[in-house]
Parts: sequence; C-alpha cells; structure tokens
Amino acid sequence: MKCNQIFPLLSGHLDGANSEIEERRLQQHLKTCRHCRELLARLEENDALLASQEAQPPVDLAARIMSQIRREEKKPRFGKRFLISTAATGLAAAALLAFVVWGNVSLPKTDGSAMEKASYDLAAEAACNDVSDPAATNAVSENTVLSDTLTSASDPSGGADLNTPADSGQLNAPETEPAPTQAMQPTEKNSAVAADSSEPTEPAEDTTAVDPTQDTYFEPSPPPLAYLQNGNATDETVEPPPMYTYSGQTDENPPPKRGTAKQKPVEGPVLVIWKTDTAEIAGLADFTLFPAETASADVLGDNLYTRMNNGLFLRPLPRDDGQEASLAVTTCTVDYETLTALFDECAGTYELCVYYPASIKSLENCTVLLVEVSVKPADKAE
Amino acid sequence: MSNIIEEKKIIKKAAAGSADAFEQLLLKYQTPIYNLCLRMTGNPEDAADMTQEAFLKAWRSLSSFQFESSFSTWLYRLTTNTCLDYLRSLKRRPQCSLTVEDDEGEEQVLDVTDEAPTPEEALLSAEERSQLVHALSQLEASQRQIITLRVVNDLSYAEIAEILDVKEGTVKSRLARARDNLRKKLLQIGNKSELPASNR
Repeated sequence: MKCNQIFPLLSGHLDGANSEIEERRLQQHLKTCRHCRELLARLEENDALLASQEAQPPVDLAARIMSQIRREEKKPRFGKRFLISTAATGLAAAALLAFVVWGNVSLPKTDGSAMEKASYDLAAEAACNDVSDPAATNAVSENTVLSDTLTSASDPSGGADLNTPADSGQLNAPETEPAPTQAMQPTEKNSAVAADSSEPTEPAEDTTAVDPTQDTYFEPSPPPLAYLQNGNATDETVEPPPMYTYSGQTDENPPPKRGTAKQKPVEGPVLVIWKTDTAEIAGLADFTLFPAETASADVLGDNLYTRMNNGLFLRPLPRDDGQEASLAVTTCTVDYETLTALFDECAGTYELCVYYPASIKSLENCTVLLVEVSVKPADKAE
Repeated sequence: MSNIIEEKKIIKKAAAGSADAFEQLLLKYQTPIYNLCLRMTGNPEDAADMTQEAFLKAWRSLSSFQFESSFSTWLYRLTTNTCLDYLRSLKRRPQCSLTVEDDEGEEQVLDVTDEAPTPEEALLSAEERSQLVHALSQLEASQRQIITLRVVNDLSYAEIAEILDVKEGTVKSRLARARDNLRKKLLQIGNKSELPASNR
C-alpha cells in the first residue's frame, strides 16, 4: 500500500471506524513506514488539541437566551394544570363546581338547555345596554360575533376565506342545522343585533337561575360563552354540533390552509377540559392562543394547527409509541349537569384534566372547550 | 436509559410551552452548542450570537420535533444549519480577517481561544494552538463542520451521518479529506512562520 492511499485509514483509525481488514492493512504499512507513523502521531496530536479546547460560553449567554424566550412565552400556552384522576373524581368535581360558583356562572336547571341560556344572556345584555352608547352597541355586536363563532351557528356569510373543514371550524361553521328554537337562533347579522337590541329575545322561562337585574352580572362585558354541545341534552331535534377533528399533519392529511381571519379573535381566558383515556395528558396536544393578526408564518413556523374559533390553535402532538392521537373539540358550558355528566362518564374510564390560564379568576367571560382525545394505532389511523 | 426518558419528558414539556423545561435543555446543551458555533464561526462573539439564534430556533420549532432522531442530533443539525446560513451571508459581506497586527506591525494569527488553558493544553505551545485554530478557520465551512462535530463534539459517525443526512461511509471519507486539508493548511502556516526564522 502506498502512502498516498493510507490517509483515509489513518483518519478512520483515529475514530475507530476502520474495519478489521482496513486496520490490518494500516498496521502492516505503519510497521514499515516511518513517515506515516509520524503523520499518525501528528493527526492524533491535532485531534487531542482540538478536543481539549472546549470553551465555556459567556456566563450571561443562557440568561440572555432565556430572557428572549420568556418574552416570547407571553403568548399563553398552558397555565396552571389540574390533573384529576378518576379516583379523585368526586373531590375534583366538587372543587371545580366550587370554582364555577365562585366564578359567578349560573347553573341552569336540568331541563334548560345551555344554548337557550346563552341566547338569553346575549339578549338580556343587549337589553341592559343603552343602544345609543356606541361602545355598548359594539360590545353587543362583538359578543354576538364571538358567540356565533363559538357556537358554530350557520352563517354562510361568515367572512373567512378558509376552505378546509378544519378551517371551517374556526370561522365559518359547516352548514349544519341551525339551533331549533327561536330563542336559540343566533342573530343573523351583527348589525341587526345592534339595531334591535332594545327588544331582547324573550328569555326562556327556565333560565332564570340568574337575576338579570343584577348589575354585577350584567356588566358591559361578554357574557359567559355557552354551549355547543350539552352532554345530556334531551332535545332530540337539536342537531349535534360539528366536531372538529384533526389527526396530525401527514402527506395525505395536510394541515388546514391558513386564511385571513376577519372576525374578532377569542379574547380572555380559555378553559380546556380534556377527556382522554390515557394518563399521559401532558404533551397530547399543543395548545396555543394567538390573536389572529399575529398568526403569521413567523409565529407558527411550519406547524399549522387545527384552528378552533378565531385565534385558537390546537393540534395533537406526535406520540412516542407510534400511535396517533386525534382531538375532537367542542365548546361546552360549565354547568352542573354537564360537569357531573362528564365526571360520571369519565369515572373508571377517562381521565379528566382541566387546563386554565393562570389569569383566570372567574369563569365569567371564559371560553370553555371540551377536548376529547382518542388514541389509535398509527396503522389504523385514517 | 432513565436519563433519556427524563429528557423526553422535559422536551415534551418544553414543546408544550414551558420555558422552565426549555431552560433545562439549554443549560445541558449550551456548552457543546457554543463550542460547535465557536469552531464554525471562528470567534466568540459570533459563536454567542449563533448559539442564541440556534436555541431560539429550537424553542420556536420544538413542537415539530418528532423524536425520530435524538434531541441532540436535531439540535446539532439545527445549529450547524444556522451557522452555515450565517457563514453564507458573510460571503456576501466584507469579512474581517482572523489576523491582527502586533506592536511591531507584523501580522499575527488572532487566537480565538477564549479560555484559560487546561493542564493538557498547557503541554502544547500557544503557537501550536493558534496555528491549529487558524488552519481550521481556513477550511471550507463543511469541512470545519464535520471535524468539529467529530473531534470537538465527539459525535459518532452515525450521529454525524444523521445530522448531515449522508451515509456513514460518506462521513468517513469526508472526515479523511477534512483532516488531510487541515494538515496541509497547518503545513502552509508552519512554513510561513518558519520562513522568517530560517532567513535569520
């Protein structure tokens, strides 16, 4: 073997990457070639010198990086987290219900649908607001927009240029049956609400658990956003709300296209109730709230999220075990019946997990999402 | 093994938005990442900037990390790409030299090592060290990259192959070529530095 052919073997020798045959050839050559022995020694010296020169980063570098990261972290992701095991269902239910009561959220009676209550809340608030007050009028209008968005009421004119089914969950609800009763029918146009707000929709009789004359409740702020699907709804004529599911991005299942959001983003706290049959709640889904205006490529990177409502992004995280998690998300109301039904349903089968931002002091103004997680083997995933 | 599981948990937390979890990753990897950046860029200021850039990118895109490779491999790949992008951008701008003039007006190689020598280093002359660093800085970025990943970051061929998205055999041949070029650069530098002495 000639010296000019030996170099790859010398390099491989340094890394322990030579095969037995290569190593034997190298050693035979080194026995007879002083030049290559010296070359090997020199290369070993270079490697040792390079390897020994580990520098320490500037002492403030980590702090600088973390400072930048914490500035970016201001967009809320997870806040405090309750993990409620099924064993502690009763206690947890009591605690959450106490939280609900503390949050001054009304508990409608069993036979009163939450959607009726939502409609009533909107109408009652509209009645309480002076229509000559532009701010109040706008508030009502915005509330209605938000309510329309969250309840996915049919509004073909809904203003978003999104095309995919997942996107439609965000702004335009799929063309589903509108709510069946007049009281449950959201106002078609925001302007109509403003103009007609002096004549509130007649409230349903069974939603009087809250006294609408209480000023503390009817502040000029959005009412509790209620209801898309009540777990124990008894009215069979109610069309189930659309479920928005997204099982992660694949070639066959591309992410929803990004559109231009034209409606008001979800503001305020979002309470997320997770239903899952796995104890591994953390990391099941990435949950991020972005104002729609900032939902640019820069913010989201290459990872698109299922867009629920305006500005809320949910997507399942990839799992280590090769299985695939999918999310089905509905908005729900936090009332006694829903909660107890949820806890009953989950006893022994599901885990319930409640995420809420640290900023939540009351469930009033809270958007409540019920996220049902199902996990299936990847090969059976559709 | 438990460390790997523990790290996975931390990564998942960080991917879900926990800056505290990410800080743990940062503290664990900042030194090797900084050293990679230092050898790639050739100076401590750029190395700090590239380290920061790489970790910010990691933070922003962690949710896309699929656990298909190890986290360190993913992070090294992200870092080397960040450095290569930076070096490419430098090509479009005037570069500052890695040599400085000493008090007598003679050109001296700028020593970019910024640390006090270890006992092992003390055995080697400062001149040798600066020559080696200078020679390394004169290699093509891709050769600097592969030598640094192997020798400074002590990564295996398999890890390097994954980072560079090449086969292990390619890593072996590229490393041999890079070491050969480094040796030649050292010879050139050594000859230059020996010329004045031989003339005396």
